[in-house]
Amino acid sequence: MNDTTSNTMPQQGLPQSAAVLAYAAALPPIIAALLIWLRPAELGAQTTQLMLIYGGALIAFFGGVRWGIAVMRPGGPTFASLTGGIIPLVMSFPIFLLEDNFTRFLIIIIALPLLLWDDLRATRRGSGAPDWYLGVRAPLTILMMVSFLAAFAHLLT
Amino acid sequence: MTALGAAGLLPFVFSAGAMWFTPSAVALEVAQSVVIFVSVYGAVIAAYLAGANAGARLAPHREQAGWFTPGQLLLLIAFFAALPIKAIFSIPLVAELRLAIIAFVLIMLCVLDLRAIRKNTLPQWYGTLRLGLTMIASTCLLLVSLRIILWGSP
Repeated sequence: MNDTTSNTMPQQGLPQSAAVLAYAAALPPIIAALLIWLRPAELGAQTTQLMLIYGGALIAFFGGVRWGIAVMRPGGPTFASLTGGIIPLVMSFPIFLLEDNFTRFLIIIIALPLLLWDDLRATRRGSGAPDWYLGVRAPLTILMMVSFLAAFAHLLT
Repeated sequence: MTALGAAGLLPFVFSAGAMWFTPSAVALEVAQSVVIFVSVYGAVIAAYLAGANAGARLAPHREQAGWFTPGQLLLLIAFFAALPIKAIFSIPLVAELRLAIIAFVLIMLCVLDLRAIRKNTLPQWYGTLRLGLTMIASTCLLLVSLRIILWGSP
């Protein structure tokens, strides 16, 4: 099976389901950011915890995606490609372990666009995820970034 | 790859060791932090492996696409199991049950990968590695859980 044939199925079969799942995954930070602004006294602190843990899990997940793509490289994974998958995982640990919400938000706000940018580069090189994945991932990252920035702004006020 | 995988196991192994050497060699206060650490670490690894499962299905040059919802559902289970009590929507579970749930999620993620290998979606060598790492990680989580049960409380 050549590459053209092999790419047909993902392009036709996956995007709709992937898009639905991806946008569903964006809902928790969006709702959390709204709660932080609308109900700060009752729910603010608890919702911030949920949002930060969710952000950390997302970064670890995106690292895993890169690892999965690296494993499937023709000829096997390279050390560099595997390391590229592990860096987001390592970045996510302080989000779970630190007490300081300011630093935890900052890591998420820096890591999410950085990972998207690097994934876009990998796709352009032909060694990353397919175009349609980033077509979903880019607006999703923007949505999540707006949510995290909104919650971060509340923290600073 | 094996070295990186083995490095990822170290926190599980050290945590299980620390728990079983408490209180003879490790202070009880340290053991309490270890329980929190290993449950968070287990959930992060679950998120990572769910991502790896999805990534393998997204990779270029592959012949068969798949549905990656099961991995994401498992990730959600691990996420709620590790969610601290002070967070909204956290589930009031005892630590030993949280750890058992995360161990279960790791095993199920491995099963998903092994199924993908049987369908030639993932390479054979990856399955051997995943199986070994999952067995050790989940055993360590269950050992921590067992130690808490034997104590009566964390």
